[in-house]
Amino acid sequence: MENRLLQTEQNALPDAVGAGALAENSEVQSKKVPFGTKFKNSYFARNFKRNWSYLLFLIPAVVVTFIFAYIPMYGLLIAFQDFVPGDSIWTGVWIGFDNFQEFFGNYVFWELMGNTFLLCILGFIIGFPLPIIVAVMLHTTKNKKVSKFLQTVFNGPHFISLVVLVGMLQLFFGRYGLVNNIIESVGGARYSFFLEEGAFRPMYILSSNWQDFGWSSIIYLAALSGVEQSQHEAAQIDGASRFQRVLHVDLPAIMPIISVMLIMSIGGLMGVGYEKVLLMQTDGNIGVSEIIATYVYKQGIQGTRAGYATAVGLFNSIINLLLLIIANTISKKFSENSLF
Amino acid sequence: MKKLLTAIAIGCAAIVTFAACSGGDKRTSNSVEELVEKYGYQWEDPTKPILNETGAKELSFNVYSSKNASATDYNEMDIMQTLYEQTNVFVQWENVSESVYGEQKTLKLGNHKGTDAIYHAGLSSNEVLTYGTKRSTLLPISDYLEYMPNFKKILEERPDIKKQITNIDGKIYALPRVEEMGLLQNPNLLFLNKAWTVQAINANAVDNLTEAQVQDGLELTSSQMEQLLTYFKASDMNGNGNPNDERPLNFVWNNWQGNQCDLYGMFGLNDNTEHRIIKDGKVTYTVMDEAFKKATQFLHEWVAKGLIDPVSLEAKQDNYLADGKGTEKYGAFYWWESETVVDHPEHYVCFKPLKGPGGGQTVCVSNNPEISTGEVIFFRGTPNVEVLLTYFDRYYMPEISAQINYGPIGIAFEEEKDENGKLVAKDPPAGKTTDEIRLQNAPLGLCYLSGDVWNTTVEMEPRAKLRLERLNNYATPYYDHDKIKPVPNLQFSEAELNTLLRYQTSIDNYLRQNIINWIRNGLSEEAWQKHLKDAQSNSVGIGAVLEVYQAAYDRYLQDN
Repeated sequence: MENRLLQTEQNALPDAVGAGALAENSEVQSKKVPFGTKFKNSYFARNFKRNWSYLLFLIPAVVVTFIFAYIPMYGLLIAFQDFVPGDSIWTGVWIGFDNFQEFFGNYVFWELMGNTFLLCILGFIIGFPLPIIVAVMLHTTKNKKVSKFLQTVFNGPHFISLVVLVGMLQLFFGRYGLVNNIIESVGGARYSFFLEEGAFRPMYILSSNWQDFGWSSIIYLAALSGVEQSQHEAAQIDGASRFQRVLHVDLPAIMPIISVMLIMSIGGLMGVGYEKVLLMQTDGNIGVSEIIATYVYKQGIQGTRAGYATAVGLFNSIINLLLLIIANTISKKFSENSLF
Repeated sequence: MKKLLTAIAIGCAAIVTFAACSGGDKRTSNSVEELVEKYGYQWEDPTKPILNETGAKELSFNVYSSKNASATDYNEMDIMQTLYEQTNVFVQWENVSESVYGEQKTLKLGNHKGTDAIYHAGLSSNEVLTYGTKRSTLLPISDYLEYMPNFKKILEERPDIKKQITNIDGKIYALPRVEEMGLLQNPNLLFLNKAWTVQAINANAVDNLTEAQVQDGLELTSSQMEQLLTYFKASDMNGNGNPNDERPLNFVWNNWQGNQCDLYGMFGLNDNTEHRIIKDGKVTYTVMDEAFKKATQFLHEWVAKGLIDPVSLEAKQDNYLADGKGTEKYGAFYWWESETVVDHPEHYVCFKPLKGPGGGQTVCVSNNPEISTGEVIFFRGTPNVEVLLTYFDRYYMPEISAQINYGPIGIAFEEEKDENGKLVAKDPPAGKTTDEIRLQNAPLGLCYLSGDVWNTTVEMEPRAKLRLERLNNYATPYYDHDKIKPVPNLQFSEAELNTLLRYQTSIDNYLRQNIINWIRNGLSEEAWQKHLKDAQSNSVGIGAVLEVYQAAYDRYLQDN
């Protein structure tokens, strides 16, 4: 069964690649499908008829997305309920917007918003351009062996699990860790990286970026490899330096990808996960390290206030959605690129 | 044709994904009379089997339980086999890891098809209220006490236990675990490096202290302690050429044992990590006490001078224990025994609580209850549940309890009892520690090991005995047991629980953030006044939470 599936896929693939150019397929066209005439002649119907077998490949993706992303959305209803795990969602105690009101009225509200926003925006400012710069640098490296080697090295940290990463941070930046030993040996005083509020954000953001810059640069590298060599040659004949070629050939070529990535990262801006923050949280830095995600975790999982936690999470998602729409609209206005 | 095949292939793949399993409970339920008649069910004599051979074959129960990573599967544990032979009740254990249980708990409570009971349930009073009273998922065990002679006897003898586990609607929904060794109340003992202290005395660094005094039971004032710690800090005590690697006073911030709370005792405060304690019949927050301000300001001095290394405020238990090994670094430290912390426990003396500047000398009184409620729960609708209840009732028999808690006779205990008829712990085989043997062979959980049992049935392990002796000398005499009490397991109404849940995170965050900030950066009078106001306000909610606790505690007392 599996083998046959593989086989058919392999056979179908070359067809699929050339699908746009493939004008006719005798087997399909010879059959008369009894559709309404209007529909039959429409552009959509003709396309559908021609490509229905390729469209079949979409079914698993659509089904999976529907089942795992759309159906569970009914769970959001509990944001408007006084919900206890095990209650039926349809017959729960409806309390309207009480959960939201409690959250907005809570004294932690502005602190949470501020902490989440700052952590994300700072991470974004450093984390967004970094992979682009790295990708361009790797791409323009003359020695391809060195370039490949560096790329592999940069990808390595991506595979470290969060728990291990935070463990490493504690080893390196702990009170008696490597960094403090170096600080002391050059005459400085030991510094409690995990107790000082000021150290939390840099440590969090830099370690995250260290972990992911190589991985995120892959997509830009792929885009860069699609830049036509002839353009570079033309620029070289015109006397462009290597930096000028990056600026005027490479960057414009990958601009569509950059703007799509930009829109997507803005959309996920407030969507930082709780795991790493929670692992790095100490009594000393809780003032800056309590973010919406950790708050939801504490309320919902530890405090068993599922309804309230869902309301807070939903509020966070709505902000994300708004950011995404705003970013997309702006991008549409000022450039040709947009997601939708 | 090719396309058709593709379509079929994709279709098949999709169907396989959706394949679901189903199955119902095929066991039949019998009335007690039928059970007696058919399966010889008897519950009165705890030395005889509960069921006859037919019952052993035909009746079965499914119990869901988490287990620690090193434990053998409960179905294969010696003690479980012994219990099966003794009772003829067949229990099929479904073991999951502790982390999986954490995720599955609420799901299991919501949909418990095929599960009769949860062992190691660990339900909070909130969950018991929700699933017991509100949603009627849990079996009210108190209606079946007749079939549980041991448990019934415990409840009659110990009204305090009964009160702590009886829900606000007057019913009991969960079986408790009782392990009363008297070890949990005071979680800290203070140890001091002998050689270092003698060195400091010889250098004339400490007032009014002679070398002869440096032995277990030593008493120091805070100023003497400060002189000692200052000397430790400044000198190369361990002689490794680095005068900066000595850490004068050590503890683990907010840990359940070996924490900072004893230090507040210098100012007469019986603090604990929840900062909540019963004083003269009133539930109070220690952080609202004037003494807390003085203690904080005092401790800040020690932190500022480096006598308390900030690593104690940031490191977790594992780092703390690891750092104690190897080159001797700890001048003084808090833990409940010195053996686990340092390589050479004989280099350290255990001493009395420090005497504060104002003469205060008391210790931390923790709220760790020795009675854990919510250990085992049963679901309504379990067929023949009486048999299962009688089975778990056997766990409360002293000898079974001991084996449940430490491991079976022959592995954890000697086959032969000592001259007093008590079970004696067996030395672990070479290369293994007592803890390893215990974690592997004992399910832990449901047991009743009260003060009596230690006197008559089980000999306490040597480590526990040593600790108990130290506590009796250096901790328990230092507070008034009539005035100061830990907060017991209280029962709350639904409205009260909602209040607690609402403020739980905010109080927790508020206190954690502020206390460590004060300790590290100092506490001004202004900040203290602001704190007194903020903490009471609705945004933090200490006032509201205190009211709830007070009401629940008053009810607890009333029932006496």
